[in-house]
Amino acid sequence: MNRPRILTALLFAVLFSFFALPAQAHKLNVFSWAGDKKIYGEAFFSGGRKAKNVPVHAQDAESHTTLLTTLTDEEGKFQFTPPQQAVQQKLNLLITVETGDGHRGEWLLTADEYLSAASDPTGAAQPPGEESAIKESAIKSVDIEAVRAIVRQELNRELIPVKRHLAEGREKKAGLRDILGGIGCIIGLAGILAWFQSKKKKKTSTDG
Amino acid sequence: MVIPSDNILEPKEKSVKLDLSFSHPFEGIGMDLVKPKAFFMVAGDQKTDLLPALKEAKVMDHAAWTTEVPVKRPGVYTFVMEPTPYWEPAEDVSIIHYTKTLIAAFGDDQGWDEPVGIATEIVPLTRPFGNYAGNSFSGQVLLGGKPVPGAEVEVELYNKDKKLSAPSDYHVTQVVKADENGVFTFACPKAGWWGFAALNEADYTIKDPEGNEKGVELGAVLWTYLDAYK
Repeated sequence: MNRPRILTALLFAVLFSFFALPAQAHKLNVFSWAGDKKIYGEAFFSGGRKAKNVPVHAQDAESHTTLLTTLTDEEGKFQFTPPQQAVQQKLNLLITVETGDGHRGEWLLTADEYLSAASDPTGAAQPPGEESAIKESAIKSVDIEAVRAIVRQELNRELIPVKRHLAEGREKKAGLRDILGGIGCIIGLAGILAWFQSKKKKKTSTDG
Repeated sequence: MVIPSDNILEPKEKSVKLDLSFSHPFEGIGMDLVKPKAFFMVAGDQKTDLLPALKEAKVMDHAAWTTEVPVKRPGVYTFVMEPTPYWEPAEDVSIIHYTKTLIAAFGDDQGWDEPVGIATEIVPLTRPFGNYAGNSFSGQVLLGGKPVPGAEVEVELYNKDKKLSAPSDYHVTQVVKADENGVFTFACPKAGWWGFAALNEADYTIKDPEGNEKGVELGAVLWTYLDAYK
């Protein structure tokens, strides 16, 4: 009768232990790529956790002058339009992320990468003009390969969140700490249950 | 052997070169490797077929294969080769050594402890990158997805350019046995590529060149690199 409630309590306890893990000295990493006129990126710690609300700086890789600063979102992601100065002067961008406790990660995105991303048909995204040109030629020549490439590309884009969900699911593994916590919780709950049952028994025995 | 140019990719390295060969790694004796039956890369739930990308090459003066694989995002990448069965007349068996190696790119360190689901494999229990010479290495031997109790694991160092020599033939291939859960541990005394090979008999047969049904040796091979301190 009480079992479902105990299971729920146990689940909460295990979930809670995920959040209650103390901050550890994990290495901070950043990954960035160029898409349709924008630069995208993700910040994450070794161990797989996302780096949320962390400042991101885009610097000129040579002079280390900060050209732009933004923040990662709740999923550790960020995006920005390449700074005009960078585009005009074809600057290589050093993208850095930092947390208050001295963790730092950096990624070099060369001017070639973000300037050519627009003209690369296999890139994550393209400017609308180019995309429609490819589609048009594909329809005109009924080039199966081109159609296949577009479908694959669109599918890939649609699947990104799905893949990410799957990837996140994989990461949420119970560590030894969680298992021990879970066992401790079971023992505790069993104790409480035993206590209640003994009380109940006493009660029935006094009643009877 | 499946040996990558590097097992840890820094952000400025945008690709990895892989050499596929067939040899006695310590003695540096090469054999011809016919085109593998399969060669692919696994990253998370994504599998990429690399067989069409293989180009002919030479390793230890024998036929081998090579390819350059672009690495675009952070991840732990597992490379898997399933060779074409090799008929070994001296041992009267066909040999299929499923060979695996893992690389880590751009700071990601997730998923190295997952089996890729091949016929037989060694699943690392020690993270297979970022280890030092002298570290021990643990792995679990799986055959058909199940642990192999007491599996015998042969261990050999890839003695590149034949710089080292062994005091005796026993030292060329070292041997460790797995426990009842198929788990083994071995300490690697030198920096370099270390190969672990768990050999098991298959539950099927393959025809020898004369058409007789003969046994098959299934090998689960894992290559991992141990670094010296800088």
